Amino acid sequence: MTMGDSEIKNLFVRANAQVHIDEARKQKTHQAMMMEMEKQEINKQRMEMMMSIKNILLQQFQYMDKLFFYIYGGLICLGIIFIAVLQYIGVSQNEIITVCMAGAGILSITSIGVIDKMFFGKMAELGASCYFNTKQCVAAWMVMSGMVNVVVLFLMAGYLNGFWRVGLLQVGLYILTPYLLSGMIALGILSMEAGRKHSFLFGISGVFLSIGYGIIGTIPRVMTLAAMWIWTAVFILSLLLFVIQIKRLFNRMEKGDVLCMN
Amino acid sequence: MKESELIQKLHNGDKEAAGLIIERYYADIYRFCLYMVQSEEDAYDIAQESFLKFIKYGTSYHHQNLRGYLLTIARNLCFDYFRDKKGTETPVGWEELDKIPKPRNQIKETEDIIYLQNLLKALSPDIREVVVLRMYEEMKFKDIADMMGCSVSTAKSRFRLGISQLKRMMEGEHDDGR
Repeated sequence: MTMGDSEIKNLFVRANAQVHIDEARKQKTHQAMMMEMEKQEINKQRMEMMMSIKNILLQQFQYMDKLFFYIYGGLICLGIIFIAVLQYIGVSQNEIITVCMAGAGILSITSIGVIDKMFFGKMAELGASCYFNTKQCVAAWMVMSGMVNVVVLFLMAGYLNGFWRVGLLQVGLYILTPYLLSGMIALGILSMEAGRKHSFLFGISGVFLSIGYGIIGTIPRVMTLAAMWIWTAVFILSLLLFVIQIKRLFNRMEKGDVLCMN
Repeated sequence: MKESELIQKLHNGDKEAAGLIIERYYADIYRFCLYMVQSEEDAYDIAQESFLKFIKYGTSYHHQNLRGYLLTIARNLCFDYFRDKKGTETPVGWEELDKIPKPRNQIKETEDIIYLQNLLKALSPDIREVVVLRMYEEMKFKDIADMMGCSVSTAKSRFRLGISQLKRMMEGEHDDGR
């Protein structure tokens, strides 16, 4: 006798009727599904509660010590007023360039000095538990303040070029060289702060560098085209040292020698 | 309630929908697992795991064939089970099949399931799967092929091979030297 597919099919039908489902196991599966759904619901809520990067950044900004932001903004405003006053009382081109040089230097020192204020702490372990580590925060601040500084320096350059008819290349060198030089010194101070704060050094260096730029401004023919090669050499050297200092600072931060969250 | 509404409700976290899915598909999934793995305890575990996997990873599921989707999950879990069991299981020899009690000679009707399970056990998992999906779940060859990740002709040939093996076993016409 040859069997047909229907007989196999019938066997399946009969067998199916004999398979009894254990209701307890079925309920257990149902319970497990419920639990999984609840777990997913909790996870969903947790995810919704988790902050977006935008919110984190906003909150970081909200809790930051904003005193130095105000000082920073105030300094920029003061600088603009000071230059306007100098122009009003009638100063020479060289004098205004010297003032801009000192201004660029102070701007640079201030922006690095803020790092000293914001991240000098003795609780490195707290820093590790924060969303961003110290290195990231310092880098973020440097980028942020750097962008503001670039805008201010551009305005300065535009003013010197437009109003005082100083060549753009010259303006660039006159402003950027003291900016980098002062920044390099400020970074050096920051790198020295292993366990001890030297905030006063920022102020002192700001004063001395400003005096120094003032003296440079009085040197005869220093602002002429003939002296451009010296400016270029100092600019390149300053840029190189500035980069080295940044690298050094970040290396020291990496090791935990300087700066941490407070 | 339509399947699409059921899925929509489930996506919205409706626990009642989960209960309805269990009521509607648990038996099918469990029987499929049982025919595949031949062990009640393991079949219950795999069936449960299938539903849990559906809840865990099936949130983006929007197709209309929920039963097919659950069967696919169960099928994959069954093959995971076979992989884990590989080496510990010995294939059924033809001489063993002689010892399989024939239901027609038995008084108890419950022997059908044991008989069928023993017959299916003699088939390779790939062939067994096609036979179960086609004969019991009454799925189309195209759907079976999609589920197995093979061509329709492969699914059909596996089915034909499985059916001929089952017939041979049921008729007791196999020869021992095979």
